Amino acid sequence: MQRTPLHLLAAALPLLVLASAASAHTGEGINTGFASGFWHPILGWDHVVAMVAVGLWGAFLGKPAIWILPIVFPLVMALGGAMGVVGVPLPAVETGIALSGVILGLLIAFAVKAPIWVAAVIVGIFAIFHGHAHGGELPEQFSAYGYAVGFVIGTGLLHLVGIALGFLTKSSVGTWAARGIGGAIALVGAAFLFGLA
Amino acid sequence: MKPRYLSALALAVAPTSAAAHSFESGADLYAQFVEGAGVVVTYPAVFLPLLALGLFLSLWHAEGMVRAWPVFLLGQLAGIAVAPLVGEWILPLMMGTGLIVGALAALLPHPGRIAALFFAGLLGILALALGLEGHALFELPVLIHLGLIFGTNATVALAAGIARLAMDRVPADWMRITLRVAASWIAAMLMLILAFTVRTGPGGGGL
Repeated sequence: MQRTPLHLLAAALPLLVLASAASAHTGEGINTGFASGFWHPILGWDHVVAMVAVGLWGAFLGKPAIWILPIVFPLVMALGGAMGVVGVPLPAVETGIALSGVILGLLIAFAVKAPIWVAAVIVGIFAIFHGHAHGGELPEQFSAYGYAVGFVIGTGLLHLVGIALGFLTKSSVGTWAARGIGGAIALVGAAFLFGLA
Repeated sequence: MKPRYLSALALAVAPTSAAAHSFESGADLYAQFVEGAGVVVTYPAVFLPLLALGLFLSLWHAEGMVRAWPVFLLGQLAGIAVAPLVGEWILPLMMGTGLIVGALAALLPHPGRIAALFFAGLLGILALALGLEGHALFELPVLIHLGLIFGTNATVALAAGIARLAMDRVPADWMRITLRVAASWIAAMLMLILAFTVRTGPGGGGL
């Protein structure tokens, strides 16, 4: 019998509906804590676009901002995370996160070259919101050590993706592509801001 | 900050006998040594601050580890001496100190000599005092002490050595920045773990 995509889909369908134990958040120990922390920033588009935007905006700002921002961001984000962990209230966290995508995306789209201290303040403020959200959602059943390590590494890798995309700015065509990515980031942020995503 | 978290903070720093983990290797000498060394690498509250110190020392000076080693060793001896006196408050203190060292390594373009020597001495004290968990001198087998000292020094030396090797092989600005980013990540991890410790008390969260 010829195996068409439809046959394969039909064969796979029963597997999808078979009841199996959910195992997303049931484990303990460092591995599960690490996985939880690592995937937490990567699986949320509102976080992803902002983290990538930090690295990408740095490319437009040039040296030393391209490196300083990824140094500052984890520290300030962890401060926000600590606030979330111990329960210090922060208003409009989700709005702040969505707004970070919009603002950072627009700064990239318009290739804004802010002074380094202005850039650090903007990024730092948004880092507080992102960190607070992650800290507040830290699952107690997991290893805090693993979660913290995974969370910081996951976030850092997203910054590196942004920095890598920033190398597009070496050419004029690439610069326009990078600015287009900034526009897309702003749109994603706006979708979260207005409740469309 | 909510009152219950202030209470948790007070509990975290209250002077009680530290007993986060016990030594159980028995009479096997090699197992005693490994257990002592293992405390450093399996105990994030000790391991991460020592990694931060290694990075700090190499960012301070190419020979930073060698220059700071005497102070670091003196600190460890002092740490053994004060170990019986410490309580569970030593845990957040160690993490807080490591957090400061990591943050300074990340944020300072050129760390200073006084800060390097100060933190080497302080983390030497804290690492051994925390690692020995309230045990008095000779209360534990000597090889556990030696393993702990070996693990402490090896961790800092390894971090400092890798950092120096990286800067020697690739003497570009971005390599130094990469090491500062690594220090930033370590500080961020410590800040989150410290917050979790304050919330749950020492021993929570797999610490």
